[in-house]
Amino acid sequence: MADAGTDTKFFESAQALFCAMADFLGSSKAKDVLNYEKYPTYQDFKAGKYNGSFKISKLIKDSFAKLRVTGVALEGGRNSIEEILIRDNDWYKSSINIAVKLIEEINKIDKDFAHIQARDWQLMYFRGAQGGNDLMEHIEELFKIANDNEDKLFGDVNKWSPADIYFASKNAEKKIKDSLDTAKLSKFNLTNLNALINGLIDSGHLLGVSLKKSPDNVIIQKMNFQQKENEKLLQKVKFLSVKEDGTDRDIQIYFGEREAKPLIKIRHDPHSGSLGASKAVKTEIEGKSARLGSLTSFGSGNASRGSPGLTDLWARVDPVFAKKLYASFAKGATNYENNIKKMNGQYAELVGKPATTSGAVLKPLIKKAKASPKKN
Amino acid sequence: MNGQFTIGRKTYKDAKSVVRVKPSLYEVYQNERIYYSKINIVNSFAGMITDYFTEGRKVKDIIESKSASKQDIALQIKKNNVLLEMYKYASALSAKSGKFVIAK
Repeated sequence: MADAGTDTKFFESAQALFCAMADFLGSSKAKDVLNYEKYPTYQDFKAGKYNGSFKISKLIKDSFAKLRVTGVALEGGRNSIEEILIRDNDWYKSSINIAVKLIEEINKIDKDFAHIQARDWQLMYFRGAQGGNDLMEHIEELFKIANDNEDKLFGDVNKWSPADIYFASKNAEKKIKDSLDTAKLSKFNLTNLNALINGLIDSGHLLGVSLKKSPDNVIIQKMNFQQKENEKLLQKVKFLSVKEDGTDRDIQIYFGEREAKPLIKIRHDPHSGSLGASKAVKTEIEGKSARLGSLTSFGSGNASRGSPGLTDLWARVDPVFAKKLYASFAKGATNYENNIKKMNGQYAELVGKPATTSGAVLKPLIKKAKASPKKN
Repeated sequence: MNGQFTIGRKTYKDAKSVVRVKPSLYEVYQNERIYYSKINIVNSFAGMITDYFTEGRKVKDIIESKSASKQDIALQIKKNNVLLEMYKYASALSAKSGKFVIAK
């Protein structure tokens, strides 16, 4: 589901808006109206007309009413959907590409979705946000209950499903809200959750979509629909080579046919707003055309632990090495913490403060000061 | 000076050139933090991971390879499986992950 990036909620809502427009237009008209060759910018598009005299600006407004995007406005300067579509034309093109491709191919995802290809709105479009009290929030609550009942098998909802927006019928909205009431009273688990969601997808009432910026062309890929399809993807994951990048402090593991994406990148992020000793090591999986996911924890080398980090997953294959790797990291992290503490003390004295001065107080003082030749 | 020195996107490899650009105290501080990140944190795992993946002979095709030893094939399978665990979990392809579509 959605992350907390500043622009994220606006471009994801923009994608949902264009999907709602494609839903209204139907598959036969969508390609003709949602067309950036005819309307190169969002302003051109908004000023345009379709079917002779219908204003696209009205289509935009009416489609926005089919969205449930908490905390996002359609227009009104900064912090609106229109602002991002005007500021970044690639998001405008990407929104069109995805909406047109989805309406064209939605019957291939499941034949029960074919009804969306007819003209007029068939669904509502959701993008999750805290306090939304809508379908996405309810799915997230259901996930939390199910995941808690399975000892936190997943670290967060994105590892279960990274859908950024959902299309849903009234029926799906009701079914999910009702399930939330019963889940709270039962030992609702991930099998129950998947049965509920899969049933709604198979009947053409619900679809979760993970969005990647696609200004040139789009591929729609089904995930976890058939074991066979997943196996095909997973069989391609074969170790090719490993490289350490001294400059960026990255380690890169390639698993494609050559030393390019796809790859796994492992990196320490030393950033700390209050000059603390951040031990965050991020593992990112980068696909050929988009980021596929990430692990935010190094873990503790324990395969049975819930919310797994890097060494916990490693332990599922090689527990002895995973433990050693974690032990080495833990030792390094302790040394790092001690060195940062010592270093902060030295810099505090350089700016005329006691060595025990907190990082939050120290930071602006170091920023103001000139370099000391002693530290070079 | 500990290793290389970075200001913005520029990198300086010797102390003389660093002195010439007159870095601010904060830039010096940031570089020292990066140095400790490298020697304490990154070095604690990078070498071990590299050694793990470079152990044995590289086996391009574990089914077709005629020249690889059983030991090398076993190592290659283990390496593939470590990457698979990370890939499956991070990209929501675990056995209990839900259905979704990617538009990319």
